[in-house]
Amino acid sequence: MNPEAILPASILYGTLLLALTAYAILGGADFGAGIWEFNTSFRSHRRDRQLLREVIGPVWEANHVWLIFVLVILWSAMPRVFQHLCVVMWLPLLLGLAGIVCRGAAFIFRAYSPVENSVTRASTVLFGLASTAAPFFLGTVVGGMLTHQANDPQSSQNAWLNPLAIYSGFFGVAVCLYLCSVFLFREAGLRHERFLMEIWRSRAMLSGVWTGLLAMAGLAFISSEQPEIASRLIWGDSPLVLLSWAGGMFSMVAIYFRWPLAAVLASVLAVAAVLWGAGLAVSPATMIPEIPLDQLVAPPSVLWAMLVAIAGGMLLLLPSLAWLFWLFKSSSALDHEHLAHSSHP
Amino acid sequence: MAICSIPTCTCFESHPVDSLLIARWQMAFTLGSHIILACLGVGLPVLMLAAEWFSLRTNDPLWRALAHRWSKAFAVLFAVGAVSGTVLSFELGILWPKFMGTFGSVIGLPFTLEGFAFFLEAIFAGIYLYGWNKLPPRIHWWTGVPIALSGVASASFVVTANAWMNAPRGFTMRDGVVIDVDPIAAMTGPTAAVQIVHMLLAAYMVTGFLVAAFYACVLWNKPTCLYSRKAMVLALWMGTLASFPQGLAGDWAAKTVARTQPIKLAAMEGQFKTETGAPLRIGGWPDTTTRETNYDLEIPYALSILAYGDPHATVQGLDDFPRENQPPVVVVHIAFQIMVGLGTLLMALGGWTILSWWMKWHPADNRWVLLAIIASGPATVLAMEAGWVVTEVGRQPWIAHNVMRTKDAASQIPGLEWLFLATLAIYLALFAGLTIVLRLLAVQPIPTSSNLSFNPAASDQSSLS
Repeated sequence: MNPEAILPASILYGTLLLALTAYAILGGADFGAGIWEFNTSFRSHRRDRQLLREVIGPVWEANHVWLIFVLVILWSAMPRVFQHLCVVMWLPLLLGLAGIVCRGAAFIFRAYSPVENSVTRASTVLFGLASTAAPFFLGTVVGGMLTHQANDPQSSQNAWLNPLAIYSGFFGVAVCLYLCSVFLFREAGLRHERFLMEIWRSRAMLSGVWTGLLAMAGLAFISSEQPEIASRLIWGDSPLVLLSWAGGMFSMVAIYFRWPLAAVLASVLAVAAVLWGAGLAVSPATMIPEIPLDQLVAPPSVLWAMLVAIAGGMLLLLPSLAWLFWLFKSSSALDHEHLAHSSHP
Repeated sequence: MAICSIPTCTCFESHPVDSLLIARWQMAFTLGSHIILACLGVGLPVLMLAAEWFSLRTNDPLWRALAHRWSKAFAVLFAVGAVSGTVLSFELGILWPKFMGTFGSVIGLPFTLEGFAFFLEAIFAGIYLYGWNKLPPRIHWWTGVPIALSGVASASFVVTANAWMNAPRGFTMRDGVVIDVDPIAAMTGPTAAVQIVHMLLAAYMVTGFLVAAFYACVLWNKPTCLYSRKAMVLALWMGTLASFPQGLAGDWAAKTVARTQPIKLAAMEGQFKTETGAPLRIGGWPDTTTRETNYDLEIPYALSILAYGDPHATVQGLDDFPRENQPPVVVVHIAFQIMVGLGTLLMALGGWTILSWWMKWHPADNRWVLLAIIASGPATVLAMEAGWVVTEVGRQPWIAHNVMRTKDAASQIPGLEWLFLATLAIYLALFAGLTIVLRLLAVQPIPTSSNLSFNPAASDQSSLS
């Protein structure tokens, strides 16, 4: 590989993983809201459902731009990887895409329709279904990339139809449920809704335990199916799996003792560490061995130009994003609003 | 995201339906749908900011109601536009894997920048739409400004990538692999500036005339509705102000095409044979067997003047190029006539708007004018789509002009026709839902000054209290 390209390519791969992590956490929690609504639709009360919608309203659009960001970095910095991914994973990508399209449209139609009608009713059903389908299929893409079958162009039909990929789909859905419930545990607390906080506390415990069990089963599964990846994942250079385990465990403790912010941070750590572990266990080079590495990444001039663009863009993006989250997710801004509401009933 | 191909007329002949053709239809359909939403995403924030500005200046509740109403419409259109844009970024790879695999790095910089512009748009859309009651009025107005600016920026960057496809440069290839890239040169090709200006003006025209047409429909039945009169005039001014520079931008675009893609110019003008002092052909039907354009109105020397600024300049004809490199001339020529014809009529409507302002007439008081405004909505969309047909079909058979053929870029995945049918069904549902929700928003009673509190997600919030 062109030695000049190694440094910028590594930084960009790191950026890509960071963006993917942001999407998995923020977009994942968004999907989780739809999955929870879908799963509790017959026994949740109105305020429960309202909170779900209220919480994602201002931020869901921004949360999903991370996906565009991931795609753009991928095709610009590693065009051949993008090409390969699209050729072997076209079906789960399209199915996940259909989910993204349907849930986005359904959410906005329901939120902005001034009256209850057939569109809003159809949207409610579609929102739940599509919110579940999208992380499932995107999860199978990640799982499919982890398995070596993606290497064989002959098996392009089956690149995602293997046990590990299907497992990853279910794991993706579980992660979304877990993240969302922990986040909503905090959000309900911010709004001083004791009752909802308790509901989300038990949901968070339940989905946390379930996701943890699923993760352990998955590790055992990978160890038997892909021992090489498993050894890198578990005993690799950095103990990321251990970190994830610790994060998950601590989030359970924090939920039990009702420390919302600590629970949120710990759950984020748990999910991020899994992704980083997977990201370091498989590099683009091991994924597509038939293409020489120097053809896999873009020329250094492009990589550096992108890094400059990303650095400059982040100067605008990060403060704006921080403001958005401060306005709608911070305790002080919400407390202010809460007081304003209670003083003008 | 303005990329790739639009189908040729071959599908109307007894041609076997191949996957290339379906991939092109798929791209054309999704892109053609997205582009309308994208135009509104660029234009509506300007209208919404203008209305809020007037409301801050005058304290008129009608302006405030309009700003609320338009911001809700923007929220719905932006969300649907965002998902249909996501579709396109997936499709680039799924339908055209070879193109993205080979040239993804070359057009990577504008797309990276576009990613940031879109991100900022989404962030400030969240702040603006949900911040009506959270932020002081002036600060709230300012949070809308980045929406309008990043809309312009993201449209510009996407069009830059398309401009590269029309005039590829800034890279060296060896054995089919891009080895050296100058990303700035790739971004600043000869067609980039003119395409950006042409597209942005089109976006403002589409928004202006489409919104004006909607309120003209309301005024047709209720000509005294003050709210609709204000809304229609404001939108009409936006279309008007964009339509005049668009004429100049169109001329600039034609001159650029003459320089960079003479074969496309020949197809646009139905010019089969190379000619010195070529006439401008208005209308007509290019006959591909006799190789001449019939039933047209010819203005002597005008094409040579318009394209090269010299009545005796030589204009290359299609037959100067190998047959396999020629774009489908009928589609390109007709689409070009539609765009120019409708653009001229829209400019005439703009002229009437200026005259009526001068004479202190109100457009809502004249039924004929109202009818013209109603027609201008679909007309401006049609003109914009026709313009895209010209630039995309006119580039065929190339996906990147003279560098890669569309057929070599296309995907080999099976069952593309099912994908196309599924897409048609999903988009049909999407646009039906969009129409219903927008209509419901539009027919809500106008809030009076005693009832001005505004909640963006009204259905959610109203049940709260």
